[in-house]
Amino acid sequence: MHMAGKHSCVYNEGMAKKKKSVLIIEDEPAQIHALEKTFQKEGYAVHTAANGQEGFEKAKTETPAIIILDIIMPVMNGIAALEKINGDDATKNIPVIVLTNFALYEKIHQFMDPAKDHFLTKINTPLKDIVLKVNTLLS
Amino acid sequence: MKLSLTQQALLLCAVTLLTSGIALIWFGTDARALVVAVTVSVAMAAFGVRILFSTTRALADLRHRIDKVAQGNYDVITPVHGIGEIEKLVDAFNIMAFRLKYQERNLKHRAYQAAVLKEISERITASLDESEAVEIIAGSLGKIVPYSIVSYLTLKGGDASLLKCHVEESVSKAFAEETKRIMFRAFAALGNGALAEEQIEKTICFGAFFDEEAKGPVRSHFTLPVSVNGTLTGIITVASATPNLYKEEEVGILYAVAEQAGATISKTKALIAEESNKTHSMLSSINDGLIMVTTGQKISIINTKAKAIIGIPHNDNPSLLDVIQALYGTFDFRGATDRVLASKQLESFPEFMAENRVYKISANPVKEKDGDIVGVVFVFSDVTKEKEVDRMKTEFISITSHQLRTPLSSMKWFLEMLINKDAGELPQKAQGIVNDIYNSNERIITLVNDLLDVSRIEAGKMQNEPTPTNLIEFFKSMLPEAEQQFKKRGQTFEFRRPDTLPRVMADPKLVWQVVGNLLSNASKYTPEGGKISLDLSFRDDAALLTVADNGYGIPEFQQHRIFEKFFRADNTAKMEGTGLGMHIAQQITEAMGGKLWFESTEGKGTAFYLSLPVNGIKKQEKAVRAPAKNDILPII
Repeated sequence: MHMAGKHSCVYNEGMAKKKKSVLIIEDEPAQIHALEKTFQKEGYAVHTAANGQEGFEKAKTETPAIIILDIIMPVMNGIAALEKINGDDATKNIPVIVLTNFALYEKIHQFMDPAKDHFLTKINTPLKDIVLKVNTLLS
Repeated sequence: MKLSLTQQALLLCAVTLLTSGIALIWFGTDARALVVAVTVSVAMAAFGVRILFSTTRALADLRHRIDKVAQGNYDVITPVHGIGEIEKLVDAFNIMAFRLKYQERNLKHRAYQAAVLKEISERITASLDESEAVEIIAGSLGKIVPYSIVSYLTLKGGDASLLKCHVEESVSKAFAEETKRIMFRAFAALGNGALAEEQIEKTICFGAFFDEEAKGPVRSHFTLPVSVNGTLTGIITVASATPNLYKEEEVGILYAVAEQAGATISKTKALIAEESNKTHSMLSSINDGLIMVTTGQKISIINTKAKAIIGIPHNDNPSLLDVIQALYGTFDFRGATDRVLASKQLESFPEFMAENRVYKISANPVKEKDGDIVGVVFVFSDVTKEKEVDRMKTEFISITSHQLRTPLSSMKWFLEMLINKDAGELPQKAQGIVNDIYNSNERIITLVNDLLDVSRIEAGKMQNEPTPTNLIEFFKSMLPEAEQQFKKRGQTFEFRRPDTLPRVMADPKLVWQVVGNLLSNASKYTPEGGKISLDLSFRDDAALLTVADNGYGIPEFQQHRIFEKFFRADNTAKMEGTGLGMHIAQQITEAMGGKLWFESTEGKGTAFYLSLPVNGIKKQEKAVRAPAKNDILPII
């Protein structure tokens, strides 16, 4: 696995095994907060990005184990980011969980890679189920 | 001098008596008198026999001639030498036969003329073209009257461009020139002003060669005008080197034919114009663009709206190529035509934009009575408004789903964190309150999700991805979650199914959305301790799913409203619910090509039936144009 970023080094201190990292691409600060806290509690190294553009760049530099991607975001929306992630050699193998409340699924589905990408509706998914999904995918 | 038969007989008797008398007086009773009388009598008798013989022969000859005439052979006009009256009788008969022969020939000629005239009329009526009518009449004249040359000219909009002449008998060029001058004079005499030589662009003559040695000047001629709607459209001049050839009667008939031809064309043209005017006004006034292209690659109909849509000037009569070029880059008109001709059925094409409006294009083959395809008709329907409504619905979904669901999901997660003690241990009372808030939030979430489902269904945005589904296995995997709910309410649940069931072409997510809703309703509207069951069976090429309970039931007077949006039965009013669940279930069932119905008795229970056809429904076609990435999403 690729070297985790500097934030994760803090949490790695004193641990024998390197933590798996999650990249959360989400523009809503409250939701970043909730997701970040939850995944940290589960022992993941967490990177965050506030829009698609920033998220794609972080995906390239940090190469996280998994990406959690929102759709409606400023600067670059999640669909464009998904297309970039799945089109770039450095990031195309990273599984992506599209986690959104945006309801026009079919517009998102056509940009998802069915072999590795997943879709969850925020409002219908408790945090514990998101963690469960990530754990399952990375185990 | 010829003597009649009676005169001959009287003369015979007189000569006999006279000779006998003279012999008696001369010789008295002498034997010589007797010899003379006998001699004369014998001579007279021989003479009588000769008369009798020639009479009989003449009568037989006459009889023979009568037979011939009776058989239609009038060639009996040979002189007959007979005796007196018989010869006169034969003469009279000969005159009669000759007259009959002449009259019959006349009749035959008339019949022939009539046949030719009829043919001309029929051909003119069939072609309905003025210039063709002139050609037809000119071309058929030879069958009616003899001529040396016939010249004819067709006039269109007062312009005479082509003069044709048919040379039947060799004449000199001067003869043809003379014929042309006669035509020009007749043209002027008809009150159409002067026709100048320069107006004729070309002269074509065909038939016999011109021969400068040929017969003399024009000795007889006549001219026929052809008029349509009171306008002279053609003129025909017939000329011959033979004098006094054209009888008033024959020319009169030809005049009548030319006049009738013009009248027929005028009348039919007026009728066609009236009909086409009606069709034209109708086509102009409809709001859809209409183009008909024939299998012969011609644009036979294009209405004003179609011209406006594809950007062809209002007054133009475009060719197929013009239409193809006008649509180049936006719509493959030729390809679409070929597609319809190949499939022989209605075809729809992707929408296209013109002048800020959206048009849907559909095309149908045009069939004749016998089923032969003669062309393709394209309809360009303006769907701008529908698209706008669609866009608004989509926008509503997009905004509702994002704006409304974002804070609700944040609340859901934070409440979950509070309940999970992520913010530390809460006092006992606070825990209860947080749980209540969580449940209330879930109720709002359900309502928002239901509303969103309804909007999505109405906007046609519901995702339906049928796959061959093993319903038994599918329900086995899905039921445990639902069974939790039954357990909570102390209800018993039974899942009855056959050992095997054919795979059903359906989207499992949608099947569960319906069945999950039915099961959840069954539990909700059945008292604690009640019985709920799910039955799977197969009949008539469809899977039948039955969700039954022994709950409150639906009041009979409200049963017909159960699938209405926001409807809630009176006996459930105090229970939680949005009144959207059954409406959504029914809409989803329809989208899957299935049927949903129920039987219910208030106080006894309800059974809902969901029938899903094994072949499902065709997957909805996706838009042909791939959506651009950023134009579909608002950047918020």
